[in-house]
Amino acid sequence: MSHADYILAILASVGGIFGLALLFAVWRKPGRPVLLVLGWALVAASLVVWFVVNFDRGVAQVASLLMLIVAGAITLPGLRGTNGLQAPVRNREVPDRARRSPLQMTADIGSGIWTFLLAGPAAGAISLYAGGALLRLTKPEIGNPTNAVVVAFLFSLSLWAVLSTLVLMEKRKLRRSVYVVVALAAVLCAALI
Amino acid sequence: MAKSLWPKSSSERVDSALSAHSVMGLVISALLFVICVSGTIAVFEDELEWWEQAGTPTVHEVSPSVMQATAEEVLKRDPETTHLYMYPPRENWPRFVAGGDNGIFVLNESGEFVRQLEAPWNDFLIELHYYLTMPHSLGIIIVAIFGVMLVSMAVSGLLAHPRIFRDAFRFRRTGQARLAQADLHNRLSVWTTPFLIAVAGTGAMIGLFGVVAFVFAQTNFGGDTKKLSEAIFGGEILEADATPAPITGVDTALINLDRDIPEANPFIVIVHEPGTKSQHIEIYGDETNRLIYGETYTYSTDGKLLATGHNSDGPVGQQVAMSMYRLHFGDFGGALMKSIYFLLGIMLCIVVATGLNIYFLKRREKGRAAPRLEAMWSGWIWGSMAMFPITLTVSLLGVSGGWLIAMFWLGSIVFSGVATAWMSAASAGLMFRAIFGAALLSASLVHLLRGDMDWTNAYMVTISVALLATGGAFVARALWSKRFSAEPATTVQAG
Repeated sequence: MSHADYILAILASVGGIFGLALLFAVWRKPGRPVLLVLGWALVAASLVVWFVVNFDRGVAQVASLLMLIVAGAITLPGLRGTNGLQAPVRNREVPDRARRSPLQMTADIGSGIWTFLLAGPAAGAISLYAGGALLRLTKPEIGNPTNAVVVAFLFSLSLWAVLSTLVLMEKRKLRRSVYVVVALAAVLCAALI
Repeated sequence: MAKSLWPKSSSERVDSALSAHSVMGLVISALLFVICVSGTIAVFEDELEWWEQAGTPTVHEVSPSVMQATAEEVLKRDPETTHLYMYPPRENWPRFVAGGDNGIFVLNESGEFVRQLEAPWNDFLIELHYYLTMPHSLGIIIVAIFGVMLVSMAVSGLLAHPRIFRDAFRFRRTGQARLAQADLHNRLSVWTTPFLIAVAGTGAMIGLFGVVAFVFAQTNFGGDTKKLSEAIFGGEILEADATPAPITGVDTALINLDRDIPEANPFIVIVHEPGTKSQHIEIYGDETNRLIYGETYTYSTDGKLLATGHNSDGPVGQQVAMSMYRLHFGDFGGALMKSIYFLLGIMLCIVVATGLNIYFLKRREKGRAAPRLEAMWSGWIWGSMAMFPITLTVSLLGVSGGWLIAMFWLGSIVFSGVATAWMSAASAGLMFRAIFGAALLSASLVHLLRGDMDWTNAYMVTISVALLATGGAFVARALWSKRFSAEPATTVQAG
């Protein structure tokens, strides 16, 4: 980076911080859409300027800096201690729950393990084979397949993360199992046949 | 109050997302915390590795002829090696180390071998963060799956957060404990989401490469994982020929690279198949405005440029794949960027720790307090934290390898067990924080007493001072706290 680049980058960083300050001001006193847009625009502009002066490394650098500043500024008072597990908590009195039978407890544990298998390995298998199926569609006949492979890789991991969440969000155990089994069968067919 | 810009979500969906978030958190938090703490410290793995051998020399420049002589000497010491690795000094890393498959050495500016590179605690840290100390092929996959789950937690957390803009800057430090913890958890996680996803996602990509390559090879490359790997990272440059040959050309390659591409900025030199007819020299150049690990230039022993990796100007996919390492470890802007990543890493650790705190506080509010489990969690958090400087101290006293691993896990379990059996969450937190601070102090003092400290080396002095100051702050705070011997926090019954 040249001296001019450094100056530009510093100005862009200050602009980004100012943008965050504007967002804070709008949050404190809402109903000022111009300031809201200006705040986000300054943050975006700082990313763009850093890209111009230092490419993708610059974007990562300023993004990390802005994240640290805003998260640090908000939670800085926490250094003086935060109410947590040490704090007394007002507790509602609730009647004792009936003790569960060993059979019920075993069923609960089994259900937990089954859910873990669905949300973890099964969702993972679906995602990876879905990525494989996507790669079958996107891989060029001739030429370099790198882009297609990396896109399929990123797709697989993102899908895994989303699927795990969706599987856990589905409360009905039977339905969640059916979804996973059907999806697994479908992607295996798409990827391997 | 401001109207939320976030799409309106049904309370049922929010509840489901929150429940998914909690379930996942309960399952993964304990080990995820260890992975996050070890990763946060591992940001400084290069510096800590040096600190463990603080007396080894600072080197600012190494000539091509010294590099050539080093290659010859390494091959003499390790004739069976299939690769020679040489790490000349670069900006932010003024050292010179080199070696083969069976050992790495520290060298001085004139290429004299000073001593074997030994950093047992750093090795332990890497074992812990990369593999959770499991067998490598399994461990790296398990750790990567934790990365996927962390991204999944981010997804469910965002879905469970309908007031994301309305609460964007809210932080209630005191007041109702659950709200204070929730504010800390939510503010840190929302504002650091890009970091969280970048770190977890790149970790998952690095660790799951083998598994994904296996599946993709099955579905698209006739089961040949090598083909897939070559598609991204390129294949062998020369056909293997094991006919013996003198090791030559490292100096010529470096001189020619400097002539051909003066801005190449070499930081790793690898000689493939050294001492054979097919030996060739691969040089990594640091692209200081890119996230890629480096651009590669491969030379023959007679100084001919055989290939360029095109990591910086090849297909976008290749550039993305080559950017994973630096993005994961924050190695893209010297000590300042590493420090920022370190602080962001601490925030991520706080997010994990406060997540379960919220769960326990909710249980209390519902009249289902679990004081033993709370104490266990508090003991795990601060006990495992304390085990990092404790293992560092004993490694400085000569303990290494499996002993450090065993000590870390057993110590963490003992801390957690002691807290569960005899302490409240609050008193465990306070006491183990004091132990953590004392262990940091002891590590830095033992290091000083070893007597090999180079006081002119800013890296070494900074690390020692940081450990002393942090340790001192934790101990002082514990001594100041009048709650040190307080009774366990109990719930207050509503009237």
